[in-house]
Amino acid sequence: MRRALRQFVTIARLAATETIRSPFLAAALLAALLLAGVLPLLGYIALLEKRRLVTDSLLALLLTGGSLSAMLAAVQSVGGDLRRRSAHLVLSKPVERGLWPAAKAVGVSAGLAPFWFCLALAVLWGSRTAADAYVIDDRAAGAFFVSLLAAIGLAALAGRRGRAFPAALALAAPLCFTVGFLVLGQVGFRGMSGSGWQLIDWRLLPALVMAAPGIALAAAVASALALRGEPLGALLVGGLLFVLGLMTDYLFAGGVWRVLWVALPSWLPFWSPERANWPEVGRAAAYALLYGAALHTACGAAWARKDLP
Amino acid sequence: MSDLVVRAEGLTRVFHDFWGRPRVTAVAGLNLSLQRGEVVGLLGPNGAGKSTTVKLLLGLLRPTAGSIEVLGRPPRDVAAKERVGYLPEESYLWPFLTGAETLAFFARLFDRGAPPERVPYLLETVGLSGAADRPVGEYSKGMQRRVGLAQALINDPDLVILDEPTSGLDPLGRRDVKAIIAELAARGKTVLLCSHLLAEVEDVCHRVVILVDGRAVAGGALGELLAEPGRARLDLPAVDEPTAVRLLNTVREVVGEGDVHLETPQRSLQSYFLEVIARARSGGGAP
Repeated sequence: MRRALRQFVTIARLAATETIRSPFLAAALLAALLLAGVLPLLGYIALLEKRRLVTDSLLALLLTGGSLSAMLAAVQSVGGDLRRRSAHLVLSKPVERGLWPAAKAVGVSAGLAPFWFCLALAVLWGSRTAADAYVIDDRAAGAFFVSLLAAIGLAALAGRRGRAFPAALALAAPLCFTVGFLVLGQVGFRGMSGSGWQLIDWRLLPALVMAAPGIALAAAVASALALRGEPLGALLVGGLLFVLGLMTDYLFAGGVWRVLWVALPSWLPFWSPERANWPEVGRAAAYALLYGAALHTACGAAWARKDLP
Repeated sequence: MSDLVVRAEGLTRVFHDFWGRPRVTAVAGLNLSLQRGEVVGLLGPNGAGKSTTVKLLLGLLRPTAGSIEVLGRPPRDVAAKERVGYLPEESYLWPFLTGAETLAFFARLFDRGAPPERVPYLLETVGLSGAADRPVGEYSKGMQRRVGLAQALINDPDLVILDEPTSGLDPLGRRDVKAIIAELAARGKTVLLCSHLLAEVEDVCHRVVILVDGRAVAGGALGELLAEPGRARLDLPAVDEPTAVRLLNTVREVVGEGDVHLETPQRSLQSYFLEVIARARSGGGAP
């Protein structure tokens, strides 16, 4: 048991490092952050609901961007190891077959922590930028882009000193956005009462945490699909499952379709910005854990018999 | 511990196409046994089934027919894998890990890990101490091969399977690898060596098995296989020409006017090269 745990942690840690160093993930993080900075600045015809519209859009960006990035990273990690045959080398050691993809999925999820953290801060940041229904908080918007530029600059500087840019960005972005967020909290907004902290919609916190197991579920699904050794196919099927998983309650609500409602992964438990509360976060986490474990158990049986030529 | 380390009987592996029809028989009814302390060469042309046999022994492939036992257990049993080391044909390592990190990663996959001094010891053994903290991605092909060999030995295995271990290595590296294999054999380890370089197999192997189209077509102890019955060789220090003529005449008187000749033996280019390098490094000139 101790050996299995040590192997799990070792493989997961390597997968997390791989994910953090992925140029695709770095590009996805930058694109998502840029979009998260722009979304609160757009003009909306939303009457007094502008803030909600912005935060809903940002939450959707967090869940969708995070899940699709998780799928890409998991397919890259599992499929890449199978293609390069690093998997053969690891599985020639005393590692149980089923442990490898599960550890990969957990590692990829851990490697996406910087992505989730930065986007979660961006959602809270957006709730402040769009706190007023008519006027954009230019200090908040400015601070966001300054933080983004600082993160890119810091990562580039580290890159010049021999550190890989994506890995440096995965450290620099959370750092710069945290500093920026803390500084912004000390600064108020003209015309509105209270400090900067009070302008942030903290009720979003459960919804932000709720997105994390959704991202982890995407990694679990994609890593299981990638075991067939066809990365493109795994990405296509994973993407299709994600789209279906956003509509399971509507598409497969009754009759024989109920079988698919049970069998297919659903991302709806991770999406309820209006009424998210902590018990719901627990239920979402439990769903991701149980579905991921069941999926890997089922796929693990086929994977255990698979030949690795 | 039993002296039989690997036992394969009637080992067959057929690859099928998409529709499940047999496409190619990579290994056909192979019988193979490796004893403790043996260095066995698995030889054969490309596509003979060497790599497939290795993957069957490692449990990466399942046999279509026949049975395999590695260290008394099925090859997929983790207890058997605990005592096996494997160097694949290509180095499939992670470019961002350093040499030391790569070995530490593999060490943590074993039951008791590896003693902390094992990683520096192996890096020293394969000649990578000076590059231990450089990323593997910056290594030359030969250096990657060396770190690959080190990972195969991280658990001090009883059975070491080496697929083309000297591929990409310079003559010095080849000499080091041969020395490592000899040391493993001296310590009672069993080594299965797949190689196209017959001279190297000849230098280190006790026994060879030759595969053609997945079948073992020849095999046995090298001394027996390579001996030329009916011939004898006399090895003596260099002599002047008159002495040589007298010697030849004497020999011809005994064995008759057959194929008797006297010549100056030639060493291999490899041994000459190694000597030149050794002299150059010690400040001397060419021999």
